[in-house]
Amino acid sequence: MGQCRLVTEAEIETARVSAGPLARLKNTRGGLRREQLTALARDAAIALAGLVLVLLLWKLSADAAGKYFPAPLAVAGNILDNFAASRYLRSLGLPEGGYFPHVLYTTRNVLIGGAIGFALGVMSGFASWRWKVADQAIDPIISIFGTLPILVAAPFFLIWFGLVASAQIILVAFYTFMILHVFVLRAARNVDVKYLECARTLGANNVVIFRKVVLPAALPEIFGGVRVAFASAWGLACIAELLGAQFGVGRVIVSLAAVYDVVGMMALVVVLGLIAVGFDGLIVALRAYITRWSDTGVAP
Amino acid sequence: MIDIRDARCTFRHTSGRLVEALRGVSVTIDDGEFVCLVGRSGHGKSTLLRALAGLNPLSSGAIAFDGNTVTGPSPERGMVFQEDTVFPWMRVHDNVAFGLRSLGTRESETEKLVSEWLSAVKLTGFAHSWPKELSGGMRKRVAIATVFATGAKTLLMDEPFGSLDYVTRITLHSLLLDLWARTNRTIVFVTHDIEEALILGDRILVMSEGQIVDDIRVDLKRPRDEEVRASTRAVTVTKSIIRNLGLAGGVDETPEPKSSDLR
Repeated sequence: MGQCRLVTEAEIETARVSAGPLARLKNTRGGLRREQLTALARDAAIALAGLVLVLLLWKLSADAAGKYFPAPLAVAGNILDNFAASRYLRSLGLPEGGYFPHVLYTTRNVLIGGAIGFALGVMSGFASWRWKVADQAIDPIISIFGTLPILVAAPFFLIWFGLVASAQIILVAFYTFMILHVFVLRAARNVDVKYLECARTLGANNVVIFRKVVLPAALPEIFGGVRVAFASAWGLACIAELLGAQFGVGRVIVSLAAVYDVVGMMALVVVLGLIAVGFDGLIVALRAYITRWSDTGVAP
Repeated sequence: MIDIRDARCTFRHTSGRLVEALRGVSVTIDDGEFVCLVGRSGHGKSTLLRALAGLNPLSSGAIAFDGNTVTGPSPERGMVFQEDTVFPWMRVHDNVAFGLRSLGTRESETEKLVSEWLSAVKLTGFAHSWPKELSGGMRKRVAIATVFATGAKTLLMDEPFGSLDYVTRITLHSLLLDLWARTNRTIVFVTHDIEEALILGDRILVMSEGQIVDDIRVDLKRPRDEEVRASTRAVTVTKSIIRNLGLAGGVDETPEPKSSDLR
C-alpha cells in the first residue's frame, strides 16, 4: 500500500466522517431538530396520557369512596379558592393569607436547607475521596445517622432548635448533606482511572486533576444525588412542620386534618407536588445543559 | 536516549499469586527511533510501557530518560492509551490545550500550538466539537495531537489503534509516520499485530514472558506498502517474530495459560 494511496484514504476517512452522525449535526441541523421535536412530542403525549389516566382513576375512586376522597375538580376548586387568601384558614387559627405564604415558607426552608446540605455534602464527599482520614472519620457518622428515621430525628431537632424555621432548615440540611455525601463520594470514586493517569502523564498536578477531571467527570452522578436529595427534602420539611411549627404546608395540613378537611389537605399536597416536580424539572434541565457533553445528557 | 537496565516488575494478582510481569529487561533506545514492542497479550508489553511512563513502579532495575531516572509520570513522556482517554467533558480544542495549560504555557502560545496541532492531525474544523460527536479514529487523532502539542520528547503508545477498523488504522499509521518524520520524536509503540509493527517500526522488540527475546532492526524502505511487506527481508523478519513468539509450528490447540498470562 503506497504513500499516495494512504493519503487518499485519509481523505476518504474525512469524507466518511463528514457523511456520518457529525455531519447530520453540522449540516442538517433542521432535520435533527425535527427528529428531536418528534421525540419530545411523543414523550409529552405519553406523559399526558399517564396523567389523564391517573386523573380518571382518581375521579372513579372518588365517586366510589365518598366525601373523604374528593374528586380532582373539587381539589382544583379548593386551590383556586384558598391559594391567595382564605378567611377559612384564619378561622382555623392560622396566620393571614391563603396557602401561598405557607407554600412559600416551606419552599424557602427546602431551598435554604437543601443548599446548605448540598454544600456540606459536596465538601465532605470530596474530602473523604481525597483523604483517607476524612473518610474514616465521616463514614461512621453517615452510617449511623443515615439509618436514623426522620420521625425519630425530627423531635430532637425541634427540641434543640425550637418550633422556628431554623429547625426545619437544619433537618433538611442534615438529610441533604448525608445523601449528597454518599453520592459525591461514590461519583468521585467512580471516575475512570484512565482519565486520572492520562492527566498525570500530561503534567497536571492534583489541583488541576480535581478541577478539570474529577469534578466534571463526577457531575452527572452528583446531579443524581441532588435530585434524590431534593425529592426527599419537600417531604422532610413538611414532616418537620407536621410535628411542630407555626407556619408552612405541614402546619396547615395538621390544622385541616383536625377538622377532617380532606379536600384542603389534598389541595396542599397537590400544590407542593407541583412545585417539587417543577424544581426537579429545573434540576434536570440544568443537568442536561451542564453535562451536554455526555452521551445521554439526561438525568438518571 | 532511553536506558532500561534489568527492569523487573512483580505484583500480586488478585488471586494472591505473585506475577513476574517483567523479568530483567535491558535495552537502550536512541533518540528519534520508532520502536515497536511486539508480543502476546499478558507478556509484559504494556507493563514495560507503563513503567516507561512512570505509571507502574519497577520492583528492581531502573529506567532513565537522558540520564534522568523515572520516578513518576512526566509530560516529557506523553502516553497515548489503548482506551479512549480524550476527556468527554472538554471540547476538542480544550483537550488539546489541557497539557499545555497544565504546564502553565501562556494562553497566546497555547492557542498557537493547539491550532497548529489540530491542523497537523487534520481536525481544524472540529476544534469546538464535543468528543462524543467524533468517530473513534478522530478521537485518537485528538489524543495524538494532545501529546504532541504538550511537547513530549518521547511518545509511548499502548496499542492505540487496536479498537479501530482497518481503513482508519491504515490512515492513522500514515498520519503518525508523517508526524514522526516531521518532529523526529522517539516513539515506543506497543502492538500485538506483526504487520502493524512492520509498517511502523525502525526496530521491533519481541517480548515473551516478561523478557525481550529478540531485537530486530527493520531496514525496510518506507513507505512499507504491500510490496515491501512481501519482500524476502520482510518475510524473514515476520518469521523471526513468529518463531520468537513461540508460534513457529502454528498453534494446534489452545495452550495452557501461564502465570505470566495473568493481568
